[in-house]
Amino acid sequence: MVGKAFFENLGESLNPVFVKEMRQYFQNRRMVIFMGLLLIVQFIVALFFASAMTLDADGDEGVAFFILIVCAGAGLSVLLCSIGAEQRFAEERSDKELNYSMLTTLKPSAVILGKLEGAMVMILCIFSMLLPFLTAAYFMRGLSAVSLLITLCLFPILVLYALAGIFAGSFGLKWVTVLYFVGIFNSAFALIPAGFSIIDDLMDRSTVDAGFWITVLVEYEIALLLGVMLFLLSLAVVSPPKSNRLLPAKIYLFALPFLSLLLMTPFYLVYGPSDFPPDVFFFIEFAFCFFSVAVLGIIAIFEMPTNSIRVYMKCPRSFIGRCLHFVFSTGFSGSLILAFLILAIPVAMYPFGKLSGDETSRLCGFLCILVSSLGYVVLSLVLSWRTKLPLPAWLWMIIFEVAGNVLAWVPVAVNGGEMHGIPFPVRIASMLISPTYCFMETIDASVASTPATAPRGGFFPLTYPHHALFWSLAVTGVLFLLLLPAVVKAFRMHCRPDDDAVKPPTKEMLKK
Amino acid sequence: MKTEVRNLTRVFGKTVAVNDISFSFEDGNIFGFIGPNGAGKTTTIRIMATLDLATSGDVFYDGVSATLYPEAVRRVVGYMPDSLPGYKDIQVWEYLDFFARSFGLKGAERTRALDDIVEFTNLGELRGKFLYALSKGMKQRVSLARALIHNPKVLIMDEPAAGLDPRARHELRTLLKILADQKKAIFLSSHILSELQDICDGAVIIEQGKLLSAGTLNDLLAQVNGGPVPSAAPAAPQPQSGETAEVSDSGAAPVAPQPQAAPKGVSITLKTPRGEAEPVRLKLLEHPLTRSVDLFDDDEVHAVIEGSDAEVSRVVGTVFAAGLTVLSFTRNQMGLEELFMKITQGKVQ
Repeated sequence: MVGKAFFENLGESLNPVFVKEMRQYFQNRRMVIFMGLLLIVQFIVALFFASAMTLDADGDEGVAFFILIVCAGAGLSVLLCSIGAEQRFAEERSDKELNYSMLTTLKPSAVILGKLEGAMVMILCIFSMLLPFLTAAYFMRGLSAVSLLITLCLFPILVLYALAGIFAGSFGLKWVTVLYFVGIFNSAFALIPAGFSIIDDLMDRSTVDAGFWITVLVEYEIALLLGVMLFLLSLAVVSPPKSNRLLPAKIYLFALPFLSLLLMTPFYLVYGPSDFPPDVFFFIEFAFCFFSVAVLGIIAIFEMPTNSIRVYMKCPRSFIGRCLHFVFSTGFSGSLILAFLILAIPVAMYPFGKLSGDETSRLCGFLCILVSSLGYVVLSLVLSWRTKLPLPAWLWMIIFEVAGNVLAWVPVAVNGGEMHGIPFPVRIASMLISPTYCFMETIDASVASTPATAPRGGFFPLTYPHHALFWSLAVTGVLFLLLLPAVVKAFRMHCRPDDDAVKPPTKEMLKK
Repeated sequence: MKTEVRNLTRVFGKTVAVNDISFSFEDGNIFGFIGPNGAGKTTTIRIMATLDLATSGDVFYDGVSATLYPEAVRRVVGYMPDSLPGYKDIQVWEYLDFFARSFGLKGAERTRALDDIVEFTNLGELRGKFLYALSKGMKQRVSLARALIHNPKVLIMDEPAAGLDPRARHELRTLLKILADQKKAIFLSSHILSELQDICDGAVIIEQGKLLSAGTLNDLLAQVNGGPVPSAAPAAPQPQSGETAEVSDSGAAPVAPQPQAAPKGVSITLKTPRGEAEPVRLKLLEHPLTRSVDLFDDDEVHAVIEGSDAEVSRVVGTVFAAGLTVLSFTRNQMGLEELFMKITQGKVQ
């Protein structure tokens, strides 16, 4: 009786979306067919391997069989839990079913969380179906018990795939689905070799040492950080357009560089400064700032200049509260201000990086790419919102990226494919307009380590990459000044204190 | 519960989809929402259902703002859209169970709500069927069940009868009358005006986002018929005092605009023996209250008389007093459809 009551209570506390997702998963014919096929094929393959097995003590038939099982499980998980989730969610969006779910007391976060929970349970189901075959692989020899833990490393990657599917599906747009499929297809090329390499590495281990767990932990941490990002972006997409839907994502993006440091601190404490030098912190911080600024820039080009009444009405009354609310709320002004604030972290840290010359140049180049990209974002927004040209900001951005990347390589083509020999100002200009050119310049160690090729002295006593960084900062700053009136207008609208077109209800009204 | 739409405006780019409309209705009433295609009906309904947000103005449910407190409003409003349930791999009861759970119904309460709604919408035999296997009429019933699963006080329906066969429409009418008897406020848009006239207590008519007319059905028809309309009264119960639908301008004086092309006076038809219509027409024209007289064939006279019922009787009495033969005398009643055709111009934004 107690058990029954427990399960009844458990059933009642489940997320409704999760319950619906599980019902849909198990009532989907394709799902049942694929899982049945997986079992049959695995069984036939197991029989094949068992028949080919030798009695040699050093036999390693188990390894090949194990890799086959794990790959099949991962493939089916991506197919059913990522692509399946994407397709179903996109259908829900286009059928407007999601709108009706939103008319209940369900929150958008419950919708995304329910779908994620469903996908995670299905991944577990798929791998638990494979357990008998994994055991068989172990008894076929060639595997250590440790090797079986490799499946642990797969889980966060598969969950990330599922989240990517949910994120893509949350748009309910065909072109996003196409982009998602392209992404899945391309990532397979990167992940399959990387996966085999990691499997090889881990299989060589006969015992579970600290290095193994550190590898697993880092993987889980990165998956967690990226997963939360995808979750919050999905949340923003499915939230009502008039709500402050980007608020959680912006707070998270702002916190991400600091959060990453926090997550790396245990490793510093475990390994000490000799194996975990401060440079590592610097690079990690730099990488996460880069990521946050890039994502905020992308978000900004899809945002409107102003907000809805609902957002304005929930604005805090104090001035500081309003300023913070403005910066983190939906609207491109806040995104840009946040991006510049985060950008200030690596720019300020840069002079303190005790790095070798090559690395300094590369970091400088990456900063240049980041600042220039933000410059493109600002220019796109200026053209879209401050002029009468009827193109959306994202389209301007694409035009600039394509045009910039083509133009920057014209001098190289004219110069016979060589960067050396191109006049210095042209190279700087090319770095400003093309991230790919900038990337090639900065990873080319021979270029980066020869600052003598760049003119020094005079008004700009800078080395070659620093010139590019200086000019990208200057140009982006000037472009931002052009956008400043729109930002100020948005701020004023956000902070108007006397907007009482709709008065809040009294407590008596709410009680009714 | 009083539902009040106050100065609602919704702008999409340069298009004003809904332009400063205000009206209100109370529970126990069925209110029709009428307008040509592209008039702004669905936009208004979506704002009322908290699916969209007004550019200015607001919708209040017993004084609670839908803009500020959409979560609170959703607990008291049920919305039945014009589209049908789209899930393929889910059964009817699972679909309703999902919405019941989403509204926070738990355990026995949820089971009871599901049983009640399945019985009310006659979905008992369809419980275990997949949604993709249902006909349009069945899906409409599922859609209605979904909107009612949390027992809302206000039911908002967008074209609920569209595409239904006559039997399904009749069933829907019956269900709506039962719901109105249960003291729910029902607000529905429809193009089938003859059906609306049968069940509605009042109506709101809009065109190009602007309110043309609103009020109880009797009042609306009286505007064009020139007086009370006892014979054309709706079958639904009459709104009682204090529940009368009204149009208000921020709670101030009524703002129901007068129909621009509506005729002044009462329209009547006099049937005469063949060839004797002309003398009747001339006699009617002599009277100062007669606004217009038209001859149809040679045995029918259509006239518009200005004044009350008693004055109309006196005018017709002059015909009898003159010794002219009149076989029958009827007062022309204008229905909702005629009213709609009269006051709208079919313009789309």
